[in-house]
Amino acid sequence: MNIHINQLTKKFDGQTVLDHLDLILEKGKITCLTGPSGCGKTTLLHCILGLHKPDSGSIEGIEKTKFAAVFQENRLCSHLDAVSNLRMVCQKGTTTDQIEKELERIGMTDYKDKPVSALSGGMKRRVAILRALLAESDCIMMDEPFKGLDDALKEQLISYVVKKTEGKTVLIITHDISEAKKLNAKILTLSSFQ
Amino acid sequence: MKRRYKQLPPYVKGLVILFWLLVWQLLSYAVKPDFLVASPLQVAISFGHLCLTQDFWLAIGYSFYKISLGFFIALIVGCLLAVFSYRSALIKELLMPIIKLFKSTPVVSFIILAILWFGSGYLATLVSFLMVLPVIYLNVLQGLDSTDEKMLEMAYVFRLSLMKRIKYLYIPAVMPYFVTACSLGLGFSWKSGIAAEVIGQPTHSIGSELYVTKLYFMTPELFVWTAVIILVSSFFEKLIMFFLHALARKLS
Repeated sequence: MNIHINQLTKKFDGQTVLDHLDLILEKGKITCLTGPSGCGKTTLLHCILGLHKPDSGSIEGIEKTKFAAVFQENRLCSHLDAVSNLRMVCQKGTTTDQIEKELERIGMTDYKDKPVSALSGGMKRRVAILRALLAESDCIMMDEPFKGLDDALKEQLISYVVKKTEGKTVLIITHDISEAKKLNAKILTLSSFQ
Repeated sequence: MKRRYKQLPPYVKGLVILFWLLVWQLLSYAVKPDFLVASPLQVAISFGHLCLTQDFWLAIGYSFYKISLGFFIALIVGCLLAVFSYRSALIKELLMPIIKLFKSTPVVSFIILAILWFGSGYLATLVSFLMVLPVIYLNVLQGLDSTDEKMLEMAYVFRLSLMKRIKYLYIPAVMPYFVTACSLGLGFSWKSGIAAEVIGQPTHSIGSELYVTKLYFMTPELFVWTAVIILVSSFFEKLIMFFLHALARKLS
């Protein structure tokens, strides 16, 4: 089922961030959302995830949706290693071997046992992306997932994301149109005054 | 630049103890009348005599049992109340005056009231419970409040079960506060528990034995009982801290 965002309005301290926004996220497709900083992209993502309550308008098609997300900050348990962070969201029955194989695919073999706090920014980002991909979900929301990664790694992760999100509804916030093109995504641009 | 102390050889600690024993011995010679300060030798002899009596071990056993009981009940009740307060602002508001009252009321007032209401049988348990409860409650609540809001949002989005939230988010946030609360609470429980026993004088208790030493100017015995309190409370604190740190390691 498509996700329909109807006339969505959200204000913070009287300041309008989203103003009667209409949007459709197609089921099983990747949609990339671009737009200038402060135009409400992250707010929209948080509204869809249920972290912010809209002031008016509605979001339809998410009633029974299982979400996964890559947040702007990684939001990983810093005292745990990558495997434990991933196991936390995996379905019952997922083995450590399976998790380690996925870590291997994104070039994290040597760092799987280290606490996340000891990893570099890029490695933490990869763990956060992998967490969203391994969690049981129908819909994945990603807030600038490839920000700060070098080009080679970005390429590798983009093709990994495309492969792992097949059949899922995905919304990716990005400032980089070339990323959206590589993801074969539908591109939507949010202006400051929707 | 941070000042660094010179590393001292290990035997220095022994010499320090010898030095203070010597000071103590000299003090006991100097202070008159003799019974005001017992010498280390007199204390050692008294300890030897007391060790051979059944009452000595009974007093330690009963005091340990009653004070630890109060501490553990406070630990459980304090944690439960903190969780309820974290979940409900109304419960938090409702409990705050009582907790503040427990925190600011002098321990002696509690002891006298408790004797009037309940007698002296489990006085040490009740008093140690009342003294430890606010410490545990306030620290655990502060720990729960310090749980990262963004991580809780993550848990909501990924539909983490309550058990996983407790294990991965709440326990790591609460643990440092909980360890501090236990360390503080253990000290409080022993100090207040013994004070309660001195006033209430239940049978077979360290407090009652202390009171007797005061009545008959038995300074060596007073020193022995004081040393026993310090040793038993330190042992109890070390034991609890050992288990807490082991638990923290297991959970991390």
